[in-house]
Amino acid sequence: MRSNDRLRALWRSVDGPAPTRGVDFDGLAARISLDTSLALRARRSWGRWTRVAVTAGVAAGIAAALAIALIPTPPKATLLGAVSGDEASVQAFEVAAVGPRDGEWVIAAAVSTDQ
Amino acid sequence: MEPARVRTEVAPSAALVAEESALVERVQDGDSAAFDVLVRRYIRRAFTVAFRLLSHREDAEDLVQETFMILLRQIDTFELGRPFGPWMYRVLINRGLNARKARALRRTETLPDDVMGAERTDLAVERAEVRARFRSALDALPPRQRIVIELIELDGCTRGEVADALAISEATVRWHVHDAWRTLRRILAPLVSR
Repeated sequence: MRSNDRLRALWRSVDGPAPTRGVDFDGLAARISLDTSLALRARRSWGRWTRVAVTAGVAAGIAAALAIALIPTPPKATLLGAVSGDEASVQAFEVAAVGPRDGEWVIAAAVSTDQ
Repeated sequence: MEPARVRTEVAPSAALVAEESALVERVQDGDSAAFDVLVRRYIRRAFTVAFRLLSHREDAEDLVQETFMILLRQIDTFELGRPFGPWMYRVLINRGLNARKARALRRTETLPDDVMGAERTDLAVERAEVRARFRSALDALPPRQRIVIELIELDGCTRGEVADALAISEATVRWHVHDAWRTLRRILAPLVSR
């Protein structure tokens, strides 16, 4: 007899398969089943709330984008506008000069937004 | 002692794979009864491997329960069209090996009936001693190798079944068995020669 066989016989004479006798597999399966039901219920609930949150988020985003689009933006300050008396901030003018040239009054100005 | 046979599919049939994929799909849709079918199909085999990993009945039961809950949490990642068993064993074994590392195991001697009974004969004491020598020798093996040799020699699994369970090739199983026996022979030589 090979030494493996002798050892194997000796081993099997003192030890055996995993002790499944006495293990309540039905009870264990029932515990797992209960946990499964709870986990799947939580998952369904979580899924529902996630969908609600995502829908609400998208709706809020669209509303915000619309609101921003509808806010009237002030017209850009232009040289012509400034000469015509429109409002233009001081910072809008980087260079401005008024004076006679060839017998005519010329207003020269560079507006930062349209220079 | 004739080891009990632990049945696992060597090469899962297409029908089995299709059936399990359908069950998993139902679980993904929230059907707990479908998961229950899978649990009851694998629970005994899972326990056997868990017991081999942890050497403790209650710990093995906890590991099985924990494993199925992990599988449930990850059910959306299951690749439909593949067998459920190897996926389950992979999670079970990785989890079990981590548990072994993470905590000092409560090692219990699963004494056979003749030792647990009132009579402690000399023979029973000698058997317990031999068993302890074997377990000490098994501790010298790498964890996966130990599982392989125990599933084959004590639980009666075939090499194909173990390969399937551990998601390794049969050639690797054969190598593990060969290497494990070489180590066991070296350590336990005095037992055989006496």
